[in-house]
Amino acid sequence: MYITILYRFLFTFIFVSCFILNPQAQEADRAYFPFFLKDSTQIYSLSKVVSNSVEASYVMHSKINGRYKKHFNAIKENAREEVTDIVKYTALLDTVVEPFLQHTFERLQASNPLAKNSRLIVTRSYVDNAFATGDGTIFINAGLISELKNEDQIAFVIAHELAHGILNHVQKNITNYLGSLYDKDLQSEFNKIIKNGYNTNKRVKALLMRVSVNNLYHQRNQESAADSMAFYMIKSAGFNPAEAYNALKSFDNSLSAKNGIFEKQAAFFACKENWQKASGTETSTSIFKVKKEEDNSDSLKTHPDCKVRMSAIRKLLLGIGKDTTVELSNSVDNSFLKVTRAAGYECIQAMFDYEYFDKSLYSSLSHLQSEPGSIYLRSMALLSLLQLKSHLKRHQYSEVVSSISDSNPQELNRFLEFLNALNLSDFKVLKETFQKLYPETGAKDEFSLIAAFAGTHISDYSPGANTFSAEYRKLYPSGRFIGLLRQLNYIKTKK
Amino acid sequence: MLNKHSLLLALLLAGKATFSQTQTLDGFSSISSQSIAPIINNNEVKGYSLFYIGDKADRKNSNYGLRIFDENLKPVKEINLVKPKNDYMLVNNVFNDEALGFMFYNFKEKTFEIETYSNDLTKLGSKVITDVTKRDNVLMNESLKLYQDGNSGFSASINILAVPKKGFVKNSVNGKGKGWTLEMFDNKVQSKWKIESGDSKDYESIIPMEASEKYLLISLFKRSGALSTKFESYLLLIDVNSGKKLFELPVEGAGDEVLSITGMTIDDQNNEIITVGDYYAKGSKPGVGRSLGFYTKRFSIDGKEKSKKFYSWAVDVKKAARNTVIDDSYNNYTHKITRMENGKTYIVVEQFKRNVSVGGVASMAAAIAFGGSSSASLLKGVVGNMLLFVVNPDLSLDEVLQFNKDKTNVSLLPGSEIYGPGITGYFMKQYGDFDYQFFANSSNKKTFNAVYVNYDREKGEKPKKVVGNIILGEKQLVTIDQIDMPSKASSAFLYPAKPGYIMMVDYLKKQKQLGMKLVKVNQ
Repeated sequence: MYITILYRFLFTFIFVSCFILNPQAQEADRAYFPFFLKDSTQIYSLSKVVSNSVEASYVMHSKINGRYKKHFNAIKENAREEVTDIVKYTALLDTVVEPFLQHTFERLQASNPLAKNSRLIVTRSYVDNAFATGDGTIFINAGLISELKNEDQIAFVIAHELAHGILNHVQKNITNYLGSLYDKDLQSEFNKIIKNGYNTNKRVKALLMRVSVNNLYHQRNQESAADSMAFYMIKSAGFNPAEAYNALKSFDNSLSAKNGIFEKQAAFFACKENWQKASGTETSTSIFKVKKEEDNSDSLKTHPDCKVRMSAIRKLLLGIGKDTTVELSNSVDNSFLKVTRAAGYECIQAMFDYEYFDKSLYSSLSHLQSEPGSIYLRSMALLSLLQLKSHLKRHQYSEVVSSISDSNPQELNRFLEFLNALNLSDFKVLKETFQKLYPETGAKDEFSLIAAFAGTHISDYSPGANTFSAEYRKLYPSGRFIGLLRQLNYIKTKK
Repeated sequence: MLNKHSLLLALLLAGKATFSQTQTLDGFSSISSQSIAPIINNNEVKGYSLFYIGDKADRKNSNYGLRIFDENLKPVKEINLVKPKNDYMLVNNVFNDEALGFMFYNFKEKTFEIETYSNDLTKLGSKVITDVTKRDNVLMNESLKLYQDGNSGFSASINILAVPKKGFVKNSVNGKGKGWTLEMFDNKVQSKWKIESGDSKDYESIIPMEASEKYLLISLFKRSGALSTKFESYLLLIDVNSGKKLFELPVEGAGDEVLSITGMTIDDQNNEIITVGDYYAKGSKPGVGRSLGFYTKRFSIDGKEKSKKFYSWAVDVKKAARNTVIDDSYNNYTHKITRMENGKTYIVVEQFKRNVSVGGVASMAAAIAFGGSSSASLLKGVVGNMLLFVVNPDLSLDEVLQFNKDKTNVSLLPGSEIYGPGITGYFMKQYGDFDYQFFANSSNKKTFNAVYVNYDREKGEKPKKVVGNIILGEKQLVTIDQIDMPSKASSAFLYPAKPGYIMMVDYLKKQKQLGMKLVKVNQ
């Protein structure tokens, strides 16, 4: 158990993560389809470069004992493996998002010589996060990009992570963490607990908590320092520093995010009658009225509260003669809308690929409100419905539909209630309703064809599904949905 | 679509996004089905408790953990109890709309302990019960053995039952097993009343069946001596406020009817008691031999019979079962009787019969030949199909549905040959021999699911454990859904869950990992 706890701490130190955001819809170019690489050679060689670079950044101090050394090497090895996997399986090398971000990154590098050895990797992950590794490589998830409003905000996020690299925060955290863990006094206290043998779990937990609170305190100071440095970095690169404030403000509002899908997609939800009642909202309120334990979550966060960060940025703005408490920028930057829209599609694809079908359906429906003609969104909605039905049939529904949680926006929770109320027979009706709202086009592009297949499969119409499956295989023998057809037994795997 | 590595990444990418409809817990070196118990309110599952032994607290005591989850498996609270090491066991937990009651048994001190908690999980009261009879101790040790063997069977002779909004009733066995005691406690574990079986020369035993805000329904058995094979069955109704007996009715062989009782319930809606059982030919012994059919009776709370209806296998059941052939060589054990919102009464029944055991006869013959004694029963039990009897509000038989499953052989207790099948059924139930697992309904009484396990044996294949769900869905149609049990787990258990779900637990011994998962049933 202790090892598990240690690794959790360790993970915190490998990456210095950053942002949490909320969704919004965009309208831009309609031709984008998510990144799909048939030949993985390029990505594999990139993963090797990055993992070697990360490994080389772990420099061990002299005068350390054997256990410290072993632990340090374990952290290094773990970081190397994690980074290899992240690049291999999530790196985004598309033609829209990645070039745009690399351009912003280069602008920042050009005006900040300390950042010249850094590298930027954009990932397909839908989680709204960014992080830096000890070698100065910065990872930015599509989930974060899709939520930002303009290039200045993206520049602030990149600069924040660059600052972590310039200020050596990752190395400092590992040194601090291992230093406090292998501190003589702490070790002696730990040995006493083990030797005593009584209430070991509780006492070891308290001891580790002491270490972690102390380290997290330092990490939060580092976040403030990174914000501050990022502010000046974007300013010197010619970006608008006020957008740092606006970016933080939008992260702060993330939980109240509302896409209005129940109003705008009312016909879709109306085909399941009384779902709010059926899902048990009336009757299944918890019998437990347990007060939340004293909220110590704030002291366990790696980042200071958004409002505290906003206030610090505001002080910096006042310092350069700008007082900006203005609302979020509404100016339409078409080139950036194209980026956020593409990043949004990548998120949906990542949700689907990693089997978060509840989220891929929710996001597809949300985006369809502003892009009703999108072939991609239509097909992802149908494919998500297909996977949800298939998992319900196999009694694996709870593995792909998450539970209602206080950390979700209310609208998402309501959507999960809807999904939890569905029975097998409802999926056919949902599909029919969806196709009335978004009729099939009959086109033979990859996504239209797979959408047609999904529709027939959901209706249990085997001849139709077989026909579309065969057509897909013929037109797209190396297509991205070959794996799905195999999973559903439309393609037999040779033993 | 995902390979091993990308699955790993999926977890990585998920960050803090967890599926709280599942829970994976590490560090469990052993687990039994008794370690997890559902918390039920108004027949609907509202949560679970997980009881486990932690590390040493001091020289004499261990830390015991009681982890409470809500109906979505979201952790609610963890209660730490410092109790004697290796000698402490959770007997059961119940919820009475206002308070949670936990009963523990301390093997070292030979005491029971009841602890109660409010719904915010603050402690309301506790009591150590030192007045524990020899028989109680023997039964608890038997229960411990079953528990350690990983069986789900448990003695109902000592338990606590929730009395809605009022408190808890604890039952126990007197002295040498000649009588019984019932004691009612309020939510703070203050004694409200205590009644005992009295000085009757008969041997009496009880099983508390159900409690409402007003009544406590008891199944009472009487026999003339400790070795007597003749059991008489009674229905006992007690006022929960005063502990006063409201009525005690003989239910087997009353008047010229020859009946056995296999189930009873309080019908709160109509202030009535419903009983179900089999009926036999006049002149025969109740509970012995082949029955002619089954019956339901309704009693008012003063013990007056208000209505009764007999359904013969030959005519009524055959007609209601339509084309389904029901093997009438079996006896029926009633697991659950419930009247739903649609006015219909649903009776969940499992077939069982007793066959002569070849091994038992050989063992007995050897014992006689060599002058010894045999502990083997001459009979073996066979568990058959599940049946669902649906009775209309006017007591006509609406339908009889049969859910086929593979036959299961079970060992019967030595001496089972001297009891009738009715009593054998009770024993089988106490020892967990039936495949039936549980019944759960929505609190609005519109839907239910009755769950059983089928050991599916295909020729040439390893037997597969399949969960059968008999479902009354929103459309008021009865359907069946089957779910495969996890086959790679060291052990797997089933528990009732919120409406429309079951809770599946799998345990991986090597990894010391316990997985709890809500599985949505298909309607």
